[in-house]
Amino acid sequence: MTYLSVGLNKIRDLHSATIDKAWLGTDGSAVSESQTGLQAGVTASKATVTIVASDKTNVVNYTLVSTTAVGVTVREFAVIDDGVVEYNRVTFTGASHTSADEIVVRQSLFYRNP
Amino acid sequence: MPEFDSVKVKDQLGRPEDVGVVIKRFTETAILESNTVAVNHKSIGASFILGHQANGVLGVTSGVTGKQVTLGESARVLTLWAIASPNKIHREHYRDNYFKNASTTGDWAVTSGELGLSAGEIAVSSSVAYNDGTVSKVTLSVTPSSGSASNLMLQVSANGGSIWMDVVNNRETIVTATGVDLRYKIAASASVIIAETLLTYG
Repeated sequence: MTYLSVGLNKIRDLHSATIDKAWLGTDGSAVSESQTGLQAGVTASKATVTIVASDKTNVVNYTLVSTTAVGVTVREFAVIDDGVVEYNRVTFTGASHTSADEIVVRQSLFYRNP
Repeated sequence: MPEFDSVKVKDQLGRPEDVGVVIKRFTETAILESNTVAVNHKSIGASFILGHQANGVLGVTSGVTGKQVTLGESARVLTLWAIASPNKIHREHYRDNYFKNASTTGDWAVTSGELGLSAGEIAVSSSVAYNDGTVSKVTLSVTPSSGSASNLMLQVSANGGSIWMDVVNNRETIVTATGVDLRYKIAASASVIIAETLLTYG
């Protein structure tokens, strides 16, 4: 049996309905499935995301504005349903956040059959 | 049904009466891929930003750029900082053009979910890994949905496209010109449609 494209797109929509924010953290350690979220999340970085849906895909767009969480060096990112669940955790080379710029993050989520 | 007939039927079924019917359940799995993350810095330039310590006053010349702060977007610059993939596997499903380089001549996501290449056409990615550690080995895996992978020439560059090296589909290759800006290139000698490209790096 196989999920039809319309079924996968329904799963995509159900998922995106439970994503409201994303946030950044300062810990760059390795990711493992047993973790429950960012290892050192910066609370001030939690912000609403915009999600662009296309066939079997959600693209999550997040911006950390220049007036908040200034002075931190961020190394991890998570897409979340705030207060409920953190869906994922991705780490990257540390990016310092200053009042002179925003940090803009884009991540795609793809839904498919095995 | 007479009682002796029903007993006969039960005997023929050959099972005790207390065994219920077991309904076989088929499970179905859907996979959610958490794909590549792109992290950019976007300078605020001379844009007015409410509550900002330097750009929060319209018209002054004391903004972070030293230029007059104006309403709306002004002198902003987007700079790529990092591109990282979970488990260092970049997956391209050709749903959009985000990782398409302008030198591509093939049909990259013109039809959603496809990279279409005719003979002589190429597809070139932009950075698919950037500042995610030094790339010293790669495995490029291309899955045609039409045509043959034998009609494709595959290359990767770990230094932003300065030096390209040939790779074999699905085979790990040691990168001689290491770097932190990984891209790939696919050239076709006959028509091929590709549904998915995986690039594993480390």
